[in-house]
Amino acid sequence: MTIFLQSLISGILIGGVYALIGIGLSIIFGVMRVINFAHGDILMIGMYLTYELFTLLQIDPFVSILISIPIMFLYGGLLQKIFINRIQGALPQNQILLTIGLGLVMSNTMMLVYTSDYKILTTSYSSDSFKVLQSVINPDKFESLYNKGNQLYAKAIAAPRDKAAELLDAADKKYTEALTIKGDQFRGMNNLGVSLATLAGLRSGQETDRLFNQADEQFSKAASLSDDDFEVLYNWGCSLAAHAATRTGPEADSLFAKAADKFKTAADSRPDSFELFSAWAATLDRQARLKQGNEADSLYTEAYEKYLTAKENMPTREAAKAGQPAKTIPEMQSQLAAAYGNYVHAFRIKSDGHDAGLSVSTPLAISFAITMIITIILYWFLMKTDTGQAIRATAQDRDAAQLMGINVRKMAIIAFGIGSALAGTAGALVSPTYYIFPQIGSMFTLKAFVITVLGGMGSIFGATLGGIIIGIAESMGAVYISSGWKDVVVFILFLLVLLFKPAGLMGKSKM
Amino acid sequence: MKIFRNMHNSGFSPLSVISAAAILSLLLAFPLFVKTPYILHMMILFFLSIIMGESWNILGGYTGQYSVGHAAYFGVGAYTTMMLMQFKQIPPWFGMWAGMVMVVVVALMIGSICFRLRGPYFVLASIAVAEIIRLSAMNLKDITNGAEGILATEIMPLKIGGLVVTDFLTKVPFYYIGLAFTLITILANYLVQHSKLGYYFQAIREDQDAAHSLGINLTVYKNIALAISAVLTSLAGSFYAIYVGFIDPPTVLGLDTSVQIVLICIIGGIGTIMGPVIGSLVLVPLSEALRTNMIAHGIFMTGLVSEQSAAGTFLKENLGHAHALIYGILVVVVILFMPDGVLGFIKKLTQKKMR
Repeated sequence: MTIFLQSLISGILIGGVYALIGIGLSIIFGVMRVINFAHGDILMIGMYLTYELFTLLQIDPFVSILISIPIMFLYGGLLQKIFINRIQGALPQNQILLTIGLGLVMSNTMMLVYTSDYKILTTSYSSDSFKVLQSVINPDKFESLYNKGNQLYAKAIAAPRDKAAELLDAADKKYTEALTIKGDQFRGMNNLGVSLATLAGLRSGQETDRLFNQADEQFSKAASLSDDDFEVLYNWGCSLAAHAATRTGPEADSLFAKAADKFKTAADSRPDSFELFSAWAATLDRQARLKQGNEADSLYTEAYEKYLTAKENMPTREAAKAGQPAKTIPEMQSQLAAAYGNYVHAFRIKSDGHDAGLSVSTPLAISFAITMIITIILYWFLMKTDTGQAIRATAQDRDAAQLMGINVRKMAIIAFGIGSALAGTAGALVSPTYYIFPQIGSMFTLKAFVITVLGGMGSIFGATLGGIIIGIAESMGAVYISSGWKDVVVFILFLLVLLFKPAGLMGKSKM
Repeated sequence: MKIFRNMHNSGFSPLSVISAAAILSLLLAFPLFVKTPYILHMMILFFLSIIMGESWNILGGYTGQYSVGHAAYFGVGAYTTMMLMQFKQIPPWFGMWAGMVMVVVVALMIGSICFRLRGPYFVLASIAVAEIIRLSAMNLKDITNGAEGILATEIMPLKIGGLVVTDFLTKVPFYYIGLAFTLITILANYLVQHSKLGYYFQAIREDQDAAHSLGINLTVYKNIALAISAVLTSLAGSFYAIYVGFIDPPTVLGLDTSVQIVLICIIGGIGTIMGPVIGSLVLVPLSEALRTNMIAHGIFMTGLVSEQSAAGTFLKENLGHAHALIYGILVVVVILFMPDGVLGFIKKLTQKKMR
C-alpha cells in the first residue's frame, strides 16, 4: 500500500511537469494545426539555458524561469515567423518533416556547442526530500511511535548537549509508549536501551546510575527475546562499558567483565565488525588498567589482539597507516591508548521500522507547485483576456476568426511563443532532476505527443490530466514492472487511447 | 506481357531503355575495374540507402501513408538475421527469409493498429510502435543481448550444392548483393507504379474517402502496401546487419533511422522511382564527407576559417559528430523551398526554361 501511494505521489509530481509540456504542444496544435516535433528540443534548449544561468550567474533554476520564459517566448515566436509560418496549410507530412528538421538542427547545434556529454545541475536541494501523511499512511501505532522515537534520537545526536537531553527524554517516552502497545518488539527495547544509555552519559550522579540500570534492563529483555542479535549485544556491551567507566573498584571491574562477555557473544555473529572489536579492545584495555601484574598483562594482550582484529576489519585505509606490531606490554599500552583516546563508542540504533509517511522529493514538489501556478495563470489568460480569447477563437475556427477581424498570423506567433515558453519552463523545472544532454529532446517530444493525444488535442485541461496520467503510469510501471519497461507501458497506453478514444479523454473534436 | 504493355503506355522510349541497360552494365562491371575497398564501400552504402528509400516509397510515396516508424522493419529484419546467424548458426541467406516472414507478421500487427488512424495520428502511432519494438529489444536481454548489441563473429561462406560461391572476405560479394537488392526494390516500385494494385494505392493517397467509395478496401490495400514496403525494408536491414557486422537497438531501431529513411525520399522526391536514388546521391556522399571531416577541410580551403585558429580546431573536432545537423538543415531547406524534393525542383526549373 505504501509503495503504491509512494509511486502515485511521485507520478503525480512529475506528471505536473509533463502536463506543462503537453499544454504547450496542445496550444500550438490548437492554433496552427501543426504537430510540433521540435517540442522536446525546445525544452532541451530551455534546460541548457537554465544550466547556463545557474553556472554562470548562480541563478536558482526555479527563479531562472522568470528570465527563461520571455527568452523562450521570443525564440518560439521567431521560429514561427521564420519557418513554421511558411508551411501553414501545406501537406501535414511536410509540416511534420519541417519540425523534425528544425529539431535536428537544434539538437545538433547544441551538440556542436556543448558536445554530447551529460551535464548535471546540482542545487543544494537536488536530492532533498520531506515526509508527508506520516500519521495517515502508517496506521500501526507501534510503528509510528517507534519511528517517532527514532527520529527524536537522530535529532538528539546532532543537537547540543542540553537540547539533546530533552530530545532523548522525549524519545524514551515514545519508545516506552510503543512498548506498551507491543511488548514483544525487541527492536523497541534495543532502541529504548540505547536512548537511555545515551541520556545517562549526559546526566550525572545517581541519575546516571539509575538510567544505566534501566538501559541494562531493556537490553537484557531484548536479548532474551532474540539471543543472537548483533545490535542488541553490541549496544548492551557498550552500555555496560560506559556504565563501568562511571564507577570505580570491583563494581567497575565486574561491569567491564560483563561488557566483554557481551562483545564475545556478539562476535560470533559478526566476526568482521570493526566497531565491535574496537569497543571490545577498549573495554579490555580499561579493565586492565584497574588490575596489577600478570592479570593486567593478560588483559592487555587480549585487548591488543582485539585491537588488531579491529584494524583488519577497518572499513577505511587508515589501517594501513599503523606502525610496527607491538611486542611488549608498554608498547601495547601506548598503541592502545593512541588508538582509543576516547573509548565511548557509538551505539547502533535499529532503524528498520516501516517508514512512516510518504517521501516527497523537494525539487519535484517545488516544480509541481510552479506548474500549477503557471497552469492557472495560463487558464486565466486564455479565458479572460482579449488576446486569450482571440487565440481560442483561432483554434476553434481559423477562417471565422479571421473574418471577425482577428489577426490570425499574430495569434499563431503568440501561440507558438507560449508553447515554447511552456516547454522552456518545463526544461528549467526538470533540470535539477534530469541529466542534460543534446539528445534528450526526442524523449520529451514523444511524451508530449502521448500526453496531448491522451488528453485530447487542443484541450488544456485534457493535457494536464494526460500529463498526470502519464506520470503515474510511468512511475507505476517502474515500480511494478521494471524501469526498463516503464516507457513501453506509456506507449501501449498511448496506442490504446489512439485506438479506442482517438479524440482523447477530454476531446470532443472529430479526428 | 502486361508489364511490357504498361511500359509502352507509360511512353518508355528506346533511348531510356538503352541508357538504363548501359548504366546497369556499367554497374555490373564496376568492381572489375575499381578495386579500392573504400569506393566499393561507398557504393554499397549508396545501394543500401536506395533500398531503404525505395522500400519506404511504396507505402509513403504511392499510398500516402507517412510512416515514421520504418526502423521497426529495418531493425526486425536485421535482428532476426543476426540472431539466427550468431546464436543458431543459420546462414544469413536463410535468416534473411526468416526476417522477411517475421517482418510481415510484425507489419500486419502494426498495420491493423495504425491504419485505423489517419494523418498526423498515423505518424504518431507508427513512431510509438517502433519505440515499443526498440525498447523491447533493449529489455529482452536474453534473446537480443540488450543494449550491448550483437557482433557478428563470422559469416558462413555462401555455398550452392557444395560449391563455394563466395566467402565474403572482400567487399565485392556485398557489392553484387547490394546491387541485386537495389534492382529488386526498384523493380518492385516499377511494378507497383504500373499495376492495378499501384493504382489502388495511388487512389488511396489522393483521396481516401473517394477511394473507399469506389469500392477499394482501404485497410486491405494499405496493409498490402505496408507488407511489401516492410519486407523490402527488412531486406535492407538484413543486408546492413551482415555487411556492418554489428547491430544494437539505437542504430537499427531508433527514431533517427526512421527519420533517415523518410529523408532519403523527401529530399529526392516522394512517389517517384528516381526520388530515392537522387536522395541517396545527395545524402550518402554528404554524410560521408562530414564523417571524414571533408567539410571542415573544405571550409579551411576557402580561407574563411584558418585551420590553426580556435574556431578551426573546434570545427575539425566536432563537425564530424554533427552530421545530423546538415540533415536537419537539408530537410528545412527542402521543405521550405523545394516541397517536391530535388527532382521536383529540377523539373520545375526545366519546365520554366522550356516555356
